[in-house]
Amino acid sequence: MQNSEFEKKMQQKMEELKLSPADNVWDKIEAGLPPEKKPRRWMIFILLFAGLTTGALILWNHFYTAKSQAEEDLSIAKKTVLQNTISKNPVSPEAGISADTVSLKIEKPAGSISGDDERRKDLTKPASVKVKISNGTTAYSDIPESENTATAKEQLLKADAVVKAKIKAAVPVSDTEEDFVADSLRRSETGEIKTVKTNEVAIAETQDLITADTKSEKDSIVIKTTDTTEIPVKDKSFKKKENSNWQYGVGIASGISTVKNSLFNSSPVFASFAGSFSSGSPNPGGVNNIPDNPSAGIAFNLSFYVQKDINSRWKFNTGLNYLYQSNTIRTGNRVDSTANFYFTTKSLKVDSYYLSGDSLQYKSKFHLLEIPVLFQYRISKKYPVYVKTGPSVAYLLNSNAMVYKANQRLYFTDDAIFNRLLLSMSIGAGFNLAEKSKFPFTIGYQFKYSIGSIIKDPFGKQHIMNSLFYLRVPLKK
Amino acid sequence: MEQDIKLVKGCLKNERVSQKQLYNRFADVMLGVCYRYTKSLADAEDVLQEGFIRVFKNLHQYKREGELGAWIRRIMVNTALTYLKRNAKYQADLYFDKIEMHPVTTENPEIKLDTKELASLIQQLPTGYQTIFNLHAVEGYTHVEIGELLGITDGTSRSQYARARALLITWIKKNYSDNKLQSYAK
Repeated sequence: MQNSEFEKKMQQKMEELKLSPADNVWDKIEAGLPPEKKPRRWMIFILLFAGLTTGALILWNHFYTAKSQAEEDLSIAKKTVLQNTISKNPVSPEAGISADTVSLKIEKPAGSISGDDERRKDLTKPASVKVKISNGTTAYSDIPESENTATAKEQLLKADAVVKAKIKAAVPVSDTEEDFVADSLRRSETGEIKTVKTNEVAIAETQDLITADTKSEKDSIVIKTTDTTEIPVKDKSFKKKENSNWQYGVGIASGISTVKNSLFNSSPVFASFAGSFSSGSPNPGGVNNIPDNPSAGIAFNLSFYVQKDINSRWKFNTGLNYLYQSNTIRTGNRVDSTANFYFTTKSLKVDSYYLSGDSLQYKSKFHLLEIPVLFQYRISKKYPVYVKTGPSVAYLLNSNAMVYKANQRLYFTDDAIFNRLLLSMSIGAGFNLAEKSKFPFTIGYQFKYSIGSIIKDPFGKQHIMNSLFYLRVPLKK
Repeated sequence: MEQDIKLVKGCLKNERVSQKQLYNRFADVMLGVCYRYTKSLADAEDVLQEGFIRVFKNLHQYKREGELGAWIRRIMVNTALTYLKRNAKYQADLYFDKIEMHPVTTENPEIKLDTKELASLIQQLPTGYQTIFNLHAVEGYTHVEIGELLGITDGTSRSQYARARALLITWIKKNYSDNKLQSYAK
């Protein structure tokens, strides 16, 4: 009986029975399910930020260590100059240079020097040397008690001479002054030479010191090494420290933004994923054409930034930005009706959608919070012009951007289509104005492009980009 | 099938997106099943809701050998039966102690009604008849299986089914002739 014609027909008819449940049924089901272990996006965000900050600090530390090393080398050079052979070489015989005694104090270099290196350890102690300068001769002298820098300068000027210093050997710092001198002598005799590093700033300061403090040509003092490395005689360079404190301020930027399928080609934003849809419902029959790419919309950015000098040229820059950006697309009419979309791996239910067409202008908006990690390089010492670049991590707070379902010719949006975390790269340039005044500010331009798509696979590919002019005002310099 | 397995894997990880996708995929058909066992759409939705919760909680038992849809359907039917037994509105009609033997009709009338009209007629059967008719004629359960499911003898199931079938055929014929008269009147 079960297989009679009646039962077969009945079975067939009942197989076709489909009814749409009310919207709240899923909500009730969801309420009865164990809570989903949602990926802790904020945790990822914090970890990413921590990672980037750590990376930046490592870089900063690297630069800082390099600077300390340069200072250390400079200090060694100074000791070397004073410890080794110094020839007094008058510019003219009329200078009437007489042998004199010069005392210089080598002070502890700026910045703490740490580590297990014995040489470094020793440099943390003030070291004093005294050099006897003989007219036209090379000689070593006993080293009496140290004097301070001011005395040294005074006595140098008393020497009334042009001094030419030759580094014959680099002498490691010894535990005692006697050892130091003995070692120096031994090395100068055996001809061990070490090239000593220094930097431009030190040279400038040296020359500045000499010309400023010596009032006549006769009094000009030049110190040279055989390695053509200029050695300063004063520790002024160490006193001029970089601003190592964090500076902070606020900024505002505005400009234009849009979305693109790719930065380097003009592939249509709304056509590239047409083939990835399987059939679904409904089929409203919008206009059958490939939609235009979105037009640019306005964008603006409010920021709080902090920055720190890495050295005289480089700055590290981070903070927190709120970014709004938009673009517009042309669509057909809006349909307020529930529709199910089935994709290869996903399905969605939306309450309204837009048909393809040209009758309406739809503004897609993106609200993002972002943390930039930028490195800023000052191009010129004279002019405060700089370039900057670096990544930024953004979290999408909200968006109404739509994707296009090509086989049914309609647009729709849903929270599920977005990637919330986004990595972007930016590049920009700017310059500081009124740098010396009470109210300095910075203006510049910045271009940003998201490396990842803000739309999830398989709904398409939309990379957000913006082009902004900005103004920044420091609150603490 | 491959898509179903992907969905099942996602659901087993308690991923809400996969669960919603699975729901979206089968909800319409399963509501049709639930509707045939109850007397109203609201009750059918209650059954659907309970059924899907059971589906997600017991999905680890799905062996992936047969159709996922068929497995979910069995759960829906069982949920519907539990619902009927539990709900006071249906309990009385499911009391099968009065065993009346009915002749088995071999009539096989032409069914010209559409799916929804036919489902409405099935809904109008007394709950006991409705349940047994659905289980036997639509789901294909044997009377022995139905007996086990409902805690009755297979004879009772046969008897109830025969009565349900006869009633339904009468209504189908009547409905058909009424429609015919209405179309003539027009």
